[in-house]
Amino acid sequence: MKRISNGIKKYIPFFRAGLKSFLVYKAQVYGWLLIGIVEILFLFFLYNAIYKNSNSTEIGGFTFYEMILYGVTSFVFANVVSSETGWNIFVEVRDGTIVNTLTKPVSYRLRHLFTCFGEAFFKICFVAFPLLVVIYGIFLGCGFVAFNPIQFIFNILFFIIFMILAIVINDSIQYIVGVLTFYTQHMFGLDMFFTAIKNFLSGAMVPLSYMGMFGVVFSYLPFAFLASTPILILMGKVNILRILMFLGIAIGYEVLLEVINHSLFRHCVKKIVVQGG
Amino acid sequence: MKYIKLYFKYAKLSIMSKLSYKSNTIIGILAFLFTEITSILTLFIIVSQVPELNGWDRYQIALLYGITNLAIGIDHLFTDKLWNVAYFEVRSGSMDSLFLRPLPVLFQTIACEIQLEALGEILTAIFLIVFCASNLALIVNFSSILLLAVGIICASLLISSFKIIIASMAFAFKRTGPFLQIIYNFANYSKYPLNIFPKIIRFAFTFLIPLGLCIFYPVSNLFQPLDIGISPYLLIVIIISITVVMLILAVLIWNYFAKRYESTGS
Repeated sequence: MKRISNGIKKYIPFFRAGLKSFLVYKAQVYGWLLIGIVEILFLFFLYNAIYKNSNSTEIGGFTFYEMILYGVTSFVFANVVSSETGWNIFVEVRDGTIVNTLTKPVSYRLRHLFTCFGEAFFKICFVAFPLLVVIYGIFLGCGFVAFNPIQFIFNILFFIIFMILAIVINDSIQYIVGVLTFYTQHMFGLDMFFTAIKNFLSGAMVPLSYMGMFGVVFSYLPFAFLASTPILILMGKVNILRILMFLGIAIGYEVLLEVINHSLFRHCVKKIVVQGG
Repeated sequence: MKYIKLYFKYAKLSIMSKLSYKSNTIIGILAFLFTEITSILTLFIIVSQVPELNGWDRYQIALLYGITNLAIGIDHLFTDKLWNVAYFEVRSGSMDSLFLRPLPVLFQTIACEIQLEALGEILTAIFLIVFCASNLALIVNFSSILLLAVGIICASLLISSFKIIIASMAFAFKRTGPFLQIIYNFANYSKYPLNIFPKIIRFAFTFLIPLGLCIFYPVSNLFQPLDIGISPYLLIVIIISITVVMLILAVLIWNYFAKRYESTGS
């Protein structure tokens, strides 16, 4: 037990570094909020037109207000489940500082994971939590959506568990992208490629239930755990049996991703090309 | 003439430097191509939920989307460096070298980068336009094609003008990238039919950020004659006039802020 505690202790500074780096960039949060307001405003007008032109009050299992709530939650959730790990690895590879890091007695993977936790902790406490409380307060208070209070508490608890899993799974994917820059020495295109896949397959841009049979298949891929599954759980659209099944699948994916990460890193570290340094 | 020759020399250098990292360029082009494909799929998925959106069917919406993306892609190909100015270059001090050369800074900034990755955006847009046009009964005549061509070119120049204005403000405020991002995100919604938005947004897309004027009306004119009380030729004159005014304004604002440039000493 003491060994585990000591093991974690040495990663606490990385957690703090991640936290501090985001405290410094408060202006980024204001910029993100402004962008979010514009996005949500247009999302509102777009879906307003879609629902007005529809013969049904529900599309893909969502009423108009549920759709707006899904979109807003997705926007906030995407901010929490974003990781700088890929870019951090790329910068270390590009600048050559990865050599210093590799000689230190810390796990390269855990170092990045704890930095990501630090960033996520800041974003959850100071951005996502207050925003979600206000948003859900407004939607519930105005009667736009209705949840069973007891069930909603369970939904929140499972949402928190799935949010943590989403942060870890996303960071694992970002780690893979970062490690691939050992080969490409270029991040922009790779990151853009993976972001496009993630945004589409996770249901962040449009609910997977809009995609018919494809959506059903996509809901079992690891990307679904980065947006669709946690948000649907919070909105009470997944029953307990499916929640437990998804929990097992998500943990399974994370273990698989870590195995891939470990093997890929061991292979790629032999290919390091330091550009100057 | 001297500037045209210089522009091509700069452009050649930029393309050669990009092609020296071939794999990166190819990954970049593919990334943009793939991003656009997922965006188009998302659009199709959303609009397929209803038979039509305020009188626009899915092919018409996709055509509007493709044409707007073509304008955005052309701007992206030629003026991508302005993003770097707005985000990093002033703060890092790397603009200093441009200020020391005996050439206009704006000319150098735009000429020194041809962003080949934008080809992914442009190719997808062209494919989408051809695909949708073959599934639609369009009104094709001299005035409608001229209006559309002028609209696309002017929309590109308008986006560039806004980028120049906001990027130039970085000379005074060091970093204006997030503000540019907001305007860009706002402009992105001109890909949807204007008539789904409330009057204030329609007003903004027609007069403040007149992408709607350059794209929406020319595309509408391909489906049915314009019902805004002016002929296509008059609309062409209005679009060109607004674009010229915006470009002049952008250059004046750039020069104003450029005179106030102070190196960060980084």
